[in-house]
Amino acid sequence: MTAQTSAYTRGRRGITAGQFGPTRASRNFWSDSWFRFRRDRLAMIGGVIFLLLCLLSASAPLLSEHVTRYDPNRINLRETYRPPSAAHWFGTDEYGRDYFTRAVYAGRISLSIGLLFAAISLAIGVPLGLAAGYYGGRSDDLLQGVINVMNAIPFLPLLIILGSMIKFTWVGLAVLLAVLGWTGASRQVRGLVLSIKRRDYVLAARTVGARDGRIMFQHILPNVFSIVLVIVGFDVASAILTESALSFLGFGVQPPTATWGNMLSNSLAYTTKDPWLVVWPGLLISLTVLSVFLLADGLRDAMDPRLRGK
Amino acid sequence: MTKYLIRRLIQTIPVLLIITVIQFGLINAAPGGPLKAYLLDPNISPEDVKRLEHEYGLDRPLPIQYLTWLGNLLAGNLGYSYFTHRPVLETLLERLPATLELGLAATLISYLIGIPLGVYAGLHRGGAVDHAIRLGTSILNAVPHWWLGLILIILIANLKLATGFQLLPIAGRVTLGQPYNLFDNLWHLILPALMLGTGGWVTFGRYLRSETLEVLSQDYVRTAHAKGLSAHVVTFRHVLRNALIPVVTISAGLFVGLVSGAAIYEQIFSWPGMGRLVLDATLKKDYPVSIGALFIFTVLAVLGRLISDLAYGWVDPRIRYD
Repeated sequence: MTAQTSAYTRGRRGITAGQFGPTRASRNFWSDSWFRFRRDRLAMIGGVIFLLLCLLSASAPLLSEHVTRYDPNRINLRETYRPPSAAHWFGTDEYGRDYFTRAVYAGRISLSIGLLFAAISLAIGVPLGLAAGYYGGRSDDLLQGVINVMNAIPFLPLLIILGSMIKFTWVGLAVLLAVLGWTGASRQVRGLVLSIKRRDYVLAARTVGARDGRIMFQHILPNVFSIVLVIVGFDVASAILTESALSFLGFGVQPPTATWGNMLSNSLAYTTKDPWLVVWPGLLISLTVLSVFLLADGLRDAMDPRLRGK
Repeated sequence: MTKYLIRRLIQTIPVLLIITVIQFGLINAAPGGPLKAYLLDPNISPEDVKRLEHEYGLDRPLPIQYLTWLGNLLAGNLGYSYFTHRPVLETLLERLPATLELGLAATLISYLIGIPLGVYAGLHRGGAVDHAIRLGTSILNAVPHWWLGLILIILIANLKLATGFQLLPIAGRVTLGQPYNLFDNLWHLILPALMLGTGGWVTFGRYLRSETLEVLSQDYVRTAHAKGLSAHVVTFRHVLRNALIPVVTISAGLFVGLVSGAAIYEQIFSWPGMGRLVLDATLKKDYPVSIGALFIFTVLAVLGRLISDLAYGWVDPRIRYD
């Protein structure tokens, strides 16, 4: 083991690994993380499920054309309230629409909202948290003030009111959620940056004359990366949950565009006639959110430099 | 302490002011308005509407309107409902107790289930129960709890249809048509509070597990063991007391979060609270009511933050106010 490690470290210093007897291929940050991620069974399961759900959503048009052969919005009043069967895997709804096809199309919207939300809220929250944590002082006070104000506003009632004024498309909803929801990311990043900026390697970087931007993005950001990954997971999940709640209440994405939330809201009128309509969208929401959580947790554990070697 | 309290109170003023500006903006952005409905009335000419607008001050510049509105707000006047024409504050206060009741019950459930589970899992780390609790809370974290409520309603309703046995009431705050009795009210409270509180106890459970593990690794716990205290005493006097500190500090926030997020549960369980009022009012575009409710929720949130900051110093003697 010692021989290997020393070859490994020398390899990183530019001496070709393998020169000093038998050794494995040198590992960089990514392959090392992947190595540890692969051994985490729950995280792998989460990752595979999430990937499958994404693939399923991405291939929704292909699927409805070649596999299920139903159009998600096509009404067929002769086939309403069918229970799950070989012809209709999830059964049919009150308009005789194939529920599985609709659920897959709905997943496109729900997943896209989750991913877009995470992307925008990171794009706002991470730089702000990084700058506030790094510079401190006035800019930090300002950010904390803004976060204080935003955290005092209760989101669900506000979203309900806004949802009644604006008819949301899924993009609009994701943007709005992100504009309201970036504070979590910035607060966590700020907290971490506060402790990282006092580390010796930051001091060392400053000593050799690195500029602020370089220190922030080259030295601090990579160390914040693992927490950012967890935030992404949490963001995707919470956006999917919020969207479903809002659409369930009738103030989110509007029918006939299916999302898991408005499918549930629709199904509510038929709970006694066809309880399956309530079951499927909820199961899909739960499965998606669970897989995202497992994946994010596993990635954090695999990439956190402090957990390395454990 | 008093100085700190005063300073914190003063700090909340700008926060509240900014929020009133946002709310005033919302009111003005809202489609419709007190006089829009009259435009469709053949008895009232557009000139009449203009005149009424002038009389009510709706044609004055927005900053002036805002100050008037703010003055009214400070005097406790949140405006009038477009539909019932009753004062908004009165309408809201009527519905607030039901929501607070639901929020309080859910918070209580969060304590009663979350604390024992979390502490037990922390004390017996790696055991079968710990694994079961971790798996269970992971799954419950991912499931929308209101959807779980829907499923339970379906199950209970079907059980009732099949056997005639009503496991738990699934709608309303009391049995309609009967004189009020406390037991009936609590009986109706169980299911909605359990569903609303699920997020709370899952959070508490996970938090307390890691907190217990943290405290267990502290020197003072080792010292307590070393000086021969019984495991029981160490658990309750040393571990539990310290592990519970974050519970006190997140309680106020949790309560406020549950109260302002209760709308969806109130809708599902036909609970006559403020959240459902917001939904109904918003659907009818009765914006004075829904934006007034937003204001009440905001005040609750600001108060909750203040209380949890104060509670932090109260339970943790290491925190000093100065």
